Amino acid sequence: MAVDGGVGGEGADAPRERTPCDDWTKRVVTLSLPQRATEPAPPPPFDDAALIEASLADPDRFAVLFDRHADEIHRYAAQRLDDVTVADDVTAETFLVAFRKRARYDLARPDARPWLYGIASKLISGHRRAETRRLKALARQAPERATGFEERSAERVTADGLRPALAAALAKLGSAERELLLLVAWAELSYEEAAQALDIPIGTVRSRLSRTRTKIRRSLESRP
Amino acid sequence: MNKDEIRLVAEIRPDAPPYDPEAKSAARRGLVAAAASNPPARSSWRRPPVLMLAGALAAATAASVTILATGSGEGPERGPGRDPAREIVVTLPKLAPVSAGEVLGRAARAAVRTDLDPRDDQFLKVESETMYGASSGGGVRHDTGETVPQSRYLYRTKRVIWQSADGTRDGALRIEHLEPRAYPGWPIPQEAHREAGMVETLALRVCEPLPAHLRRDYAALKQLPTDAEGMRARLYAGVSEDDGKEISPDEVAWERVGEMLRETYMPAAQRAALFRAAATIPGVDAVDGAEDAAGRTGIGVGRTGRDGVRADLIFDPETYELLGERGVVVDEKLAQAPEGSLVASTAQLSITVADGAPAVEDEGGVSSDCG
Repeated sequence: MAVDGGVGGEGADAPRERTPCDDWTKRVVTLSLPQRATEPAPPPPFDDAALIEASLADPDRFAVLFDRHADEIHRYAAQRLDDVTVADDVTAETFLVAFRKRARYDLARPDARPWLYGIASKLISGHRRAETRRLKALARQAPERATGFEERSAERVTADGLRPALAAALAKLGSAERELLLLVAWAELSYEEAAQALDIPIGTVRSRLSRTRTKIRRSLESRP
Repeated sequence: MNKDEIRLVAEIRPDAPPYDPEAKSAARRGLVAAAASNPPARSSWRRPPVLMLAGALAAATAASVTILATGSGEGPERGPGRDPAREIVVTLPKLAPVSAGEVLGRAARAAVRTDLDPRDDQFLKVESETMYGASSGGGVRHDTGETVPQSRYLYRTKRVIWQSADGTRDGALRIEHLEPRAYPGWPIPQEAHREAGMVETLALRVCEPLPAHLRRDYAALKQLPTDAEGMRARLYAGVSEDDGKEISPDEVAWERVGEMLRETYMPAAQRAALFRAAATIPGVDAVDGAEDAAGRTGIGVGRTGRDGVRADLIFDPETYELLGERGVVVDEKLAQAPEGSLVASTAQLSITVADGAPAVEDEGGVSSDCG
């Protein structure tokens, strides 16, 4: 029976999403021929909200959300944390927490990434040591001048030169400020998505980011 | 500094090491196992936890399904789910003249009278009939942009599951799809009829050992406490604060009672302890006239969950054996279905010991190995 995008071994017992075109004739044929029943086409790609809703009745389907977004969430966790096994744990836990909270997911939001990033952010902030180590390592990291120098933009060179000071400034931020800043700067969430991720009003996103920028600027200006 | 600080921070973003495939598949397995064991979310009952056994293997089992069309999905017309009426409405549960504690106490005493004693290399074969809610649609197709209408219905199956007594051997699950029923207040979608009459057999592969708390094989159940207090502690174990916000610990405990009994064979001593422990869960009471999916009437013992559905275990009024389960809407608003409607119904038809499980051929060269 349909392999439901790899969800759950029991996919066959679960009703699957099907294409709406199902006519009576086809059904008769399916039932009367002693052959293997025609396999329904793979389910159409539903958005995350539809998937989460379907997972309320059929929990196995939630694994599809993992297939869609686990790599991205892991990438972010691994950028934020110095220990890749901690990033592995954070990723696994993010989806378990999401699974437990799925009944409260706002179905008006077709893209679940902000929600997942929000859960991951909270979990990441629980790993202070790995996070601090990452910022320290970032400060030490030498600018990569060895290869492709001419391809590198002038901007990138500037940032590389400022790397230690920027890392130090990041370390000095409050955790709520750093969380928001890195969701925008590293995970590339829009302000709107960041607001959803952290469950704060978009006005707060703007004001918090503006405050954070000021702090970073001051920190960079005051460096020795 | 005339450059945007956010862009500067973006430019020092470190490279992330790739997601180790092993760590990734372990995370996915954990999620699938949680999906198989977690309490249902609102508005629908969970299907029996087949993944318990198959646990580690998601795509694997799906690859080894065989389907045959038999042309008939109907059994004898008996039982609440068999009436082809558009909706199934039962009368609202009325309190039974006996207390839940009494019923469960009798069930506990009855439990120790009969016991199976499978060898490690044998299988427990459980036959049941089920009716659960299904929903689909309600999304937008990425390719065509068309909105797929939401649908809801009750799907019915006859299931036979073979599970290794010590959890080390591959099992099997045979599912015969029966005619669906309307979910109260919703039309039956045309496609819901399509599966009726199909019979499929899935291999339940044993891959990696499951974590102890997810195991439901006989050997694992046999390790559970045989006293009510110890069993109660199991029922309430690990209910996190976070869970507490959306679901009460008592509800979790009651759901776990059902999970331990669904398609399993609970050894007599543990079964007795489980019934005694269940009697201590707040909110549990007894109602008369509860019918199971096979049309047998008994005493319902249950409690109402956050979804507005009362979840009953149904006991035989004379022998106090467990007959099945049912879900009845008691809060129209929460359940989004009329009061008194039946939204889940099962019947446990037999539990026997078998020497082997049917072999399920892998198809089309698709490997159903665990890796």
